[in-house]
Amino acid sequence: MKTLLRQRCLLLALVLGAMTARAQVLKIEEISRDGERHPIDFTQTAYPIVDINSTLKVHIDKNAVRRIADQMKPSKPAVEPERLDAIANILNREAELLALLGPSTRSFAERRADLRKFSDGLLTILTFASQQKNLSENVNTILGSDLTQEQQYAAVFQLIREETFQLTQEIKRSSAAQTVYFRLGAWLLEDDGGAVRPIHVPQFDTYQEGAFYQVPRFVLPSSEELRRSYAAAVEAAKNYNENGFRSLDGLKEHLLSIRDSLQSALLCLRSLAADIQTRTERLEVKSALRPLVAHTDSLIGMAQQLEGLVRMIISSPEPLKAARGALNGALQLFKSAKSNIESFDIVLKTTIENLKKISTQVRELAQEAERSGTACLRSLIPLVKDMEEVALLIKQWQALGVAEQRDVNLQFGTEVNRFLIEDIPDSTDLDLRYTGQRSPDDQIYVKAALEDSAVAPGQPAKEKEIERRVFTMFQIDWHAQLSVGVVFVSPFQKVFSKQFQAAPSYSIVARHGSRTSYMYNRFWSVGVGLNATAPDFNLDGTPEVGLGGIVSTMKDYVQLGLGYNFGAAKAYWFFGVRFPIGAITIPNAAPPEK
Amino acid sequence: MTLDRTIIIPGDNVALARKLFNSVVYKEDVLVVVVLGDGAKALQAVQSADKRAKVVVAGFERKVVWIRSRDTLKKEIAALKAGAADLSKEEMGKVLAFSISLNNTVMDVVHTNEEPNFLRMEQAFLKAGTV
Repeated sequence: MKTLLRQRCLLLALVLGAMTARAQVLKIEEISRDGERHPIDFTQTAYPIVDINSTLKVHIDKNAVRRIADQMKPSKPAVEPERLDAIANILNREAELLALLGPSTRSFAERRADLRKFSDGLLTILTFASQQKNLSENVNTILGSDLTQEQQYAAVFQLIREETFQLTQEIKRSSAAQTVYFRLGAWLLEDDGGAVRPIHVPQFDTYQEGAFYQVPRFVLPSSEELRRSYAAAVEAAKNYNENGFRSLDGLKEHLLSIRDSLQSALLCLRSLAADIQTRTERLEVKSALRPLVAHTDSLIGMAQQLEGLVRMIISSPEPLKAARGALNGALQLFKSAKSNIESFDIVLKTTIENLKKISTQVRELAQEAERSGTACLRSLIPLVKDMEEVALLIKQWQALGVAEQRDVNLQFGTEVNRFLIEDIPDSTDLDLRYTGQRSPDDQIYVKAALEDSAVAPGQPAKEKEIERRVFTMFQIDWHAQLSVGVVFVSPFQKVFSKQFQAAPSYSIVARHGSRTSYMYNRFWSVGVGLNATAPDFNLDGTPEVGLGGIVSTMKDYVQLGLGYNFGAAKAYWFFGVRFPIGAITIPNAAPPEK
Repeated sequence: MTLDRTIIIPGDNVALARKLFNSVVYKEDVLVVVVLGDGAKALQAVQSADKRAKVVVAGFERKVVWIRSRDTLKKEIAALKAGAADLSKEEMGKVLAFSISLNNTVMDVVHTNEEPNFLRMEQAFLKAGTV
């Protein structure tokens, strides 16, 4: 009794839960490069993290899509498609079930199992038959007939098979007639707020597949970058060792220098713009052309008069009278035409001379613009790099905390296919390596929608978004990078007066990302690795070699380690701190992420 | 129509009635449909069930027990264990027939307001075979 009550309560809870839960059309799992599958549970997180080089396998639940599509239209199928599928499965096992009829030589337990199998299967299809009016009458007739038991059941199977076929066709017809289509699209949104670009989803659109790009697991800056960074690190270490932390004041000086350079560049540009405007006004091109234009107008007027005269002669009823008048008029016109044409020739020649002079002045103006403009540009170029570093610092300090779903407008392009519900592919594999260039913290959006094209002519189809999923990409699998920086070394035994000595260093740090924590991927990001540095414990100007282990966190903003100076035979500990602006001398860290 | 697979329980001999009932239900490995009453519907139920009782599945036979008088074997019927159906929850006057599994549990009840045709009685036997 208690068991039955508990069962009924559980069943009720399940039914209520199913009714209130959001319909999930897409089931998505991540397949990492080593083949491991990670099912994504959207009830645990709305913004899952995936590895940047993995594949997203998207399964589409057609029955769930159909249920939503049916809600868009008034009519419902007579029998739920899932039930028809279950019945079809049993009908496909007809031979297996009918083979259980009659006596059996199997053991008692096996026979019980066979009896259960037969009873469950037949009960399902006969219950269905009993609920279809015409079908139940026909099945009843067969079961009461004098056919053998095998013939009876075979006839029942056939009858039910025909009925389910009819119902399935009816569902297909009604779905097609209702003109509801399914569409699935995906987009990539770059972390720096760049444009959302559509990406190819196999089987679901005709976009071109993106260029293959696998985010490298080992990042090694170019030898030129390494050389430049190391030289900057050496300079930074020297600065600190000579001036201590006062060298940090260079930050403020540097910013002031940026401001001054910007101001003088602005003055240069404004002066250039004013100069060009003035010179252009002095060229007087319009006034040079005016006489020519006036004479041309006069010639056009003359030609029009002549034309009018000829027309008059042709249409006059008295040719002789008209001819006399016309001839007089023509004589007058010819006199003025000759002088008009002669003076036009003079004006034309003068205008051409004037224009030639102007073109010389234009050539001179172009040369002046080039000279002044180039000088202004030269003053602006060095600022670009400094401003990029400042921007990077601001961006990195801002990149903390949980993901937010940006308000992104996802519109299907014409390349995205439309599917009738029955024709929707069961699944698709979205290999992120074929989505083109991407970086950690970029997002993939996947959207499923239904489109009702049964609208008035000229109206766009009604779209109903049924599911939208957002994935943020990070490097999760083990990855490493080599970087150059400055560390502050402190030997365990005191060898010089200061507590710390700055030294340039190389570090190779390995990291593993998190599939669950944004804070970890964006902020903590702990790494371990090896460090090689060049301290000078004996202060003879020749650096020694120190090797050690390093732990890095906060995206290399904080580093800590232990090492051994082989030259001085002394152990030390060290820390490193990352600053973004090269001029203030502590240019540690990783190459920029973008 | 002959009733080849039906045992008619006598109403005037309690001992024999009990013996026959217990023998079919508890001693034989058969699926049983018990029909109660003596009216037209009960007769239709018996005839339909008897027809469907000719089926043998995995060597297990089917039998029909017809208790014409509702007062006969009341205790024995009440003692039957509940399975998917529970006679203790039913108004026995509205029960036309019920099926019993190999575990001797009641699995399906056919009510007096249902049509006891071949399809319905076949469903009763099948229900009895699901455990």
